[in-house]
Amino acid sequence: MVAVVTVARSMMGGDDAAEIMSELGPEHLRLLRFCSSRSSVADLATELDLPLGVVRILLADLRERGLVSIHQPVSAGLHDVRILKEVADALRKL
Amino acid sequence: MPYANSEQTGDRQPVPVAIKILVAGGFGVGKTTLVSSVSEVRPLRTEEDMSEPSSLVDQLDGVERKTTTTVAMDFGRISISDDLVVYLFGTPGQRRFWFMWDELAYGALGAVVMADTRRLADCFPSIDYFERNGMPFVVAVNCFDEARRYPSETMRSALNLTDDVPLLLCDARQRASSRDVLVALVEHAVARLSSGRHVTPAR
Repeated sequence: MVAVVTVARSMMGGDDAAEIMSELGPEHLRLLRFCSSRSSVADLATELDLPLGVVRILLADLRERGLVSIHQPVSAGLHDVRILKEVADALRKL
Repeated sequence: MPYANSEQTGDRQPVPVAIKILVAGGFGVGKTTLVSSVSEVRPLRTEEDMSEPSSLVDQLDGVERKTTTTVAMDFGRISISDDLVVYLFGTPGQRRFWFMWDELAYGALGAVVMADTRRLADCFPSIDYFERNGMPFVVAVNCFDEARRYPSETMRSALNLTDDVPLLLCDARQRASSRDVLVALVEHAVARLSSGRHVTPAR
């Protein structure tokens, strides 16, 4: 849900770009545009106003074609006191 | 876009650390208010399998074969830096949405359980849930204008809270107050981590 999606391969240029693009639906292309901002899966669902499950399926299609990477970022921060203290300090300034 | 930066170097850009915090509690206790007072809040839709109780509530005439239902939850995001983002998920309070909790709880830093002194029992299920899976949580009593105030000790005892669980009074409409609740939760998680009580994922 908070996994971060990044664009794995630029669709600009490349011989097979046109072929891959032709396999994708308009929702895929819209999603792909939003992925360039390193958003989480939940962010993408709200940006596109699509249910989470739909976004997951679209992302799976994009990943299958090597267009996006999906990273699980969560566990890194949870056990790191330094990161958590940074979070607490930042929240205090809100 | 908070994530956008001008230093993108192809595939090697660092992945941000995402901290997930749940905001739980009974129906109408102020979860949406708290999330929206500290962050930009947006509805997040999920298509979920319909549970038995839900099918009794949702009108299914004519769509008897429908087995999923759309659930909207509050979703807030606080960007701390390019590499560090806090996500808030307001978990649907009604009992019929409990089936969503395991996924929400997975990998979460901790939870804010919101309570209303007029309907204290509404937050028991949330407290039970987080106690069971060992996730750090704080209880935030949302001080509604018309609700009676009780001493903290009275509320702790009514909620059967152990001494190590922080209990705070808050006004979810106030940004500073909601912020303090989140800070208390993160500090509580840090304290538990420092004392060797590991933050255990839900599964």
